[in-house]
This record gives sequence, C-alpha cells and structure tokens, in this order.
Amino acid sequence: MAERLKRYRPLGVSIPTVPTVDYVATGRAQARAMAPIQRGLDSMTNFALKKFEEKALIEGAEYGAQNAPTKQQLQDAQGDIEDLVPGDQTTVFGRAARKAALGSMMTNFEVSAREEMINLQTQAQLQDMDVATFTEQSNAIIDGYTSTLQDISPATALKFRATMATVGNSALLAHSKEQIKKQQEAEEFAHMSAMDIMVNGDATRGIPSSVATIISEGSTTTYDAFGNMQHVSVREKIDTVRNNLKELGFSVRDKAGAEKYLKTFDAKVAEAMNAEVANFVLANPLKNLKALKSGDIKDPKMQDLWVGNMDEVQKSNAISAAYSALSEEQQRENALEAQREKDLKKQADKAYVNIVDALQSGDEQARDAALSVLRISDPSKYEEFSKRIQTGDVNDDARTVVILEQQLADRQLRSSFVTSEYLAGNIGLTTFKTYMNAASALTDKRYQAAGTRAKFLLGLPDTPLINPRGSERKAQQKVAAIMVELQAKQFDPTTPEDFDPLAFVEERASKLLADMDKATDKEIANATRQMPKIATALGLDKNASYSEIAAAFANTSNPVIRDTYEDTMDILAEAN
Amino acid sequence: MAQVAVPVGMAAISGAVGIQGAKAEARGLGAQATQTRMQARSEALKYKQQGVQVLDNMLRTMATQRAAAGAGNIDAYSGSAAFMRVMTQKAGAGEYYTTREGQTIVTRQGELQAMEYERQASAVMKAARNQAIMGMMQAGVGGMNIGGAPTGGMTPTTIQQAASAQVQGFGGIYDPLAPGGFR
Repeated sequence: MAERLKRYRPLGVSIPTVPTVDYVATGRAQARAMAPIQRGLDSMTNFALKKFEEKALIEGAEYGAQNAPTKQQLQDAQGDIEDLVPGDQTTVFGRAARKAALGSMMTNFEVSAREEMINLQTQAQLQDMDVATFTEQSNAIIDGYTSTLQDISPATALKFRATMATVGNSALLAHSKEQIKKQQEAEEFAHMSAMDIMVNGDATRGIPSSVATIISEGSTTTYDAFGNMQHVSVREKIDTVRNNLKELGFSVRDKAGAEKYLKTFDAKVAEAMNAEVANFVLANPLKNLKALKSGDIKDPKMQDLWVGNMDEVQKSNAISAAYSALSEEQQRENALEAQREKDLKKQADKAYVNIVDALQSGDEQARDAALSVLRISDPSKYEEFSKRIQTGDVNDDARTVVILEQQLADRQLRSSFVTSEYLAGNIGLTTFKTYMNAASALTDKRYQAAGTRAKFLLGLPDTPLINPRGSERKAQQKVAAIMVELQAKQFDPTTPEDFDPLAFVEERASKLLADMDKATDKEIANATRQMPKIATALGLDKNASYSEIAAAFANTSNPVIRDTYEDTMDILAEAN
Repeated sequence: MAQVAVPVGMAAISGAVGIQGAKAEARGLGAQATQTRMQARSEALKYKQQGVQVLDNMLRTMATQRAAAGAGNIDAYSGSAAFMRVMTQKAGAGEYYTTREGQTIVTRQGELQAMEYERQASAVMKAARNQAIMGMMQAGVGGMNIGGAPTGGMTPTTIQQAASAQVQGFGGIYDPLAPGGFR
C-alpha cells in the first residue's frame, strides 16, 4: 500500500551559500585614500611648528636682548634677581629670550668691566699703582660682575669670568710692562741726569760741572788715617769721570745721547784746559807764553796742569787757543774803542747842532748844556765855541758876508761854513743866524729837489697818478724806497754836511733803473708763453715769430691790445 | 598665539581627514558585519534543512519498519518492531538535535563575528578620534612649547578644550543603522 500511494519527492532544493563580499577591504581602501592627505597635513603642521619655532627663536632673542636687565636694575633689585631676566627654560621663545638676555647682559657687563678696567689702568698709571694693588682691584672688578651673573646663570658667569680674566691679564700685563718701562725710563732719566750734571753741572742747584771742578781743583794730594799719601792727578780724575759716564751710558737705551755726553765731556775738558791756559796767557801774554814754551811755570796750578796732565797735542791746541783768545781780546778792545769814538762823535755832532740851534734861538741854557756835552765829546770844538761866546758879538766882515752871499746864490751855502766863520769871529750872531737859516732852508730844498729828481729819473710825473700801470706801480715803489733812505739821511745827525741829496738820488735811481730794466727769467718765461695769444689777437698765426709780432704790434691801432700787452712786449723786446 | 592656533587648526583638519578615513573603514566593517549575519542565517537554514531531512529520514525509516512489520504480520507496535522504531526515533532525534545545535552554533557564531566587526568599526572610529585629539594636543603643546612674549596667550587647558571641541564636530558613536553611520 505504501508503494501504491504517491509520495512527495523533494526536488533537492538546497540553501545556497551566501557569497562573501569583503566590505572591510573596501573600507580600508577608502581609509587609506585619506592617509596621504592626513600625512600631508601632519607634515604641514610640523612645518608650521618648525617655522613658528624659528620665528620664536628670533623674536625671543630680540625680546631678550631688548629687555635684558641693566647693571643698575640688578643692583637696585630686591629679592631674586633671576626674575629680572626675561624668558624661561620651558619654551623655545623663553629659552631664546633668556639666552639672548644673558648674552646681552654678559656683553653689557663685559663692556662695563672693560671700561672699569681701562679706568683702573688710567688710575694706575696716574697713581703709579703697584702691580699687587692693580691685580687686587682688577680681580675685584671681575668678581663683582661675576657674582651678579653667578646668581642668574653659573654657565654665563663662568664664560664671563674666562673672558674677563683674559682682559684682566692683558691689563695686568700692560700695567706691568708700563711699570717696568717707567722704572727703566726713571732709571735712564736718572742716569742721563747724572751724566748731564757731571758734564754740564746744574746751575739751579749750584752744582758745577765735573770738568770745571776737576780743572779748578787741579791734582789733589791727601793723606789717609795711616799717613799714606794719595795723589790723584787731573788726568786720573778726568779718566774716572769719563769711565763713570761710560758706565752710566751703558744702562741707557739712548746710546747716541750717551755718546753725545761723552763727546761733550771730552770737548769740555779740552775747552776747560784751553780756557785755563788762555787765562794764564792773557794775564801776562809775553811772560806767560815764554814760560809755557820753556816749561818754567811759576804758577803751581798751571805747572801741574801743563806739565803733568796735558799731552803735546793738548798743549799745541791750548797755545793756539791762547793766541786766538789774545787776538779776540785785541779785537774786542779795538771794537770797543771804535764804538766809544763813534759814540763821542755822535754826541759831539748832536751837541754841535744843539749849540747852533741854541745860538740861533738865543736859548743860553740850552747852549750851556750842549757846551758841557761838547766839552767831553769834542774838547777842541768846545774850546772854539767857548772862546767865541766869551768874546761876545762882533761886526761882520764885509768880505766874509760877500762870500756867504755868493755861496747862497750858488746854492752851495753850508751851515758848517757859516759856523766856522762865526767861530773865527768874521760874522756876528745875527748874521750867523741869518745864514744858518738860509743854509738850512737850502738843505731842505736840496732834499725836496732830490725827491722830485727821483720821480723824474724813474719816469713818474710830479703829480699823483690816478690809475698807474704795472710798470708805474713798480716805479712808485722804487721812488718810495729812495725817499725813505733820503729822509733817514736827512734826519741822521751823523750825515755829513756836504752830503749831496741829488747825487745820492741819482746814484740810487740809476742802480734801480738798471735792475728794473732787467726782466726776470720768470717774467720772460711768462711773456714767451703769451706770444701765441698776442699773435692771435693781432691776427697772426699763433706760431708767428717775435719779429712778426713786434712789427704787427708797432703798427696796430687797437688801444686795448696796446694797453694789455705793452708790458709783455717790453719784456719780450728785452729778451730778444 | 598664532603659533598655537595654526598648528592646532591644521592638526584638527588632519584629524578630521583621519576620521573621514576611519568612517569609511567603519562603514566597511559594518557592512561586513551585516553580511556575516546574513551568512550565519544562511548557514542556519542549511542546518534547518538538514534537520528536516533527518526527520524525513526518520519517518521514512519508521514507516518502512511498520510496513515491513505489517507485511510480516508482526505487531508493529510491540516487541522488536516497536523497539526498532524507538531506536530509529532515538537515532533520528539525536541527529535532528545535532542539526539544531549546528543551526544555533552557526547563528551565534555569525552574530559574534558581526559584533566583532562592529566593535572593530567602533574601535577604528575611536582610534581616529583619539588620534585627532592627540594630534591637536600635540600641536597645541608644540605651539605652547614655542612660547612667546609675556602678553597673555593660550594655556594647555584652553588648548585641550579647543581640541575637544574640534573633535566633537566630527564625532559621535558608530551606528551602522544611523544616517552617515554615526549617532
């Protein structure tokens, strides 16, 4: 039955396996797509941070440098001075600021310390401070700054100390060198001073030179406590001093100076010996020269010097020096005599003029005063005047008056002739006065005429020039020079009475004219350089010769060219 | 100030990009979880089908046994025949329950796998958020480390707050059923 009934036969439908889809891989792939963007953004973040860090380093350094505390702020600070230092150790900016501030502080401290060190050096030099004190004060400066820095940054303090220690050592070294140099200089100065005093003496302290002392003392003989005689000759004394000078000279660096003192010493020795001998000779030249030649000298000091301490060369030089001294003495005496005579002549001339003036004016007091001067300066003339004045007034000799009139008419009247006639009693006082006035006026006229003559000779008009040319200005200068000389002669009481102003002027003018005519080399060179310019102005080729230029210049009617180049052409004419 | 704000802002953008990547991965993981559940369901159905087959086989065997007993004039409901049927039922029941267990195991396994995927997705999102926060904090701290002149500025606290605020803008808890995958 079971076989007969139909049963459901399953078709074999099965549950299919669900295919696997990897959604995770997809998601991860999508996530991976974002990764590069994220990495890029991270890099940008890092880059930004790095840039900000660099910026912070710079800004921090600037901030630190700008806000670094000063030494005064640190000194005034109460409590922890660390707080005054900008920045910190936690941020880049802070570290940079702190570093810069410390650097700035260190620099400022270093500058201040160096300044104090320089002041110390200056003070040390001024006060001549010893090295130990200098070291102590130098260390005090460095320690002061270092201790301040130590509280803030030991590392900076250490660095500062190292730097300043070098500065301090250099300063100490310099000061030590300076001290040594000073000592050396002082020693050298002392030695040089000693040499100077030995050679030249010290007038302010009344110390004579060694040479003078030795020569004035001469050889000395002393006896010691045991009665032994010790004789020291001049030569030995000189050698001793010379050796001392040499020893002093060794210790100074200025060898030339030391050598100079030695040479001066030798020269002074020779000079002193020569002077000693010359003085001896001048005391009695004939006798003493003879004594020196024979060696038989009575003066013991000269005997010692001449016989025992001078060699032949020195003796020969000393004799020559003595002769020179004799000659100089003679010349000096002659000169003094000449001067005395000249002075007397001057006094006499002046007194003579004053007497004549007094006679003319009738001033007897002045006349007597002038006579007393004339008595000393020219006794014979004094005698003549005295006699004439005592004689009193006389009548004029007609012949003498005629001669005087003739001389006046001839413009040859001289006051000396009038005076001599008066002294001879040929004319009275009134006539004397009249003709003296006439002679004086004539003299003034001669001088005046001489001035006019000078102008004439040098090509100048008697009237003043308004716009003088170069040559005229030159001539004016020459005339002025002659006139100055002429006036000096006129008012010089020693000028002889027969002095002829006209002759004087002519002589001077002719000499100056000769000099003026000669163009200087410089003027000729300048004129030659102007030749092309003159040639062009005259319408010639610039290389035209002098003769062509001179011919054209002579024929030109252009006043401007003539005025401009006249002097130059004159010089060229002289040169050619 | 700029040395903090700029790196933090850039780190925030970077974190947002990272979160976008994490979102994509999380979406993949969510889809994978859904698929895993579907696969588990499919496998469970297979076991169910197998169980039906076992039952069919048992009934067919029992029917055969009854039929054979009937044909042989043997009382099918007593004696050996009944015992044979009971034994068939026993074997069939054992096999059927095995299929039921397989169905359960497969379902549970699939569910567990799906949950793992979802946890992974959540972890990926969390990691991305954390990375974003840490990135911004690092940038902020880096910026703070740069520092500046003492004129006021961002403190580490304000930086953290800013970073958190930025992250929350992208954040949320992953939910494959929510629009955009987050709630």
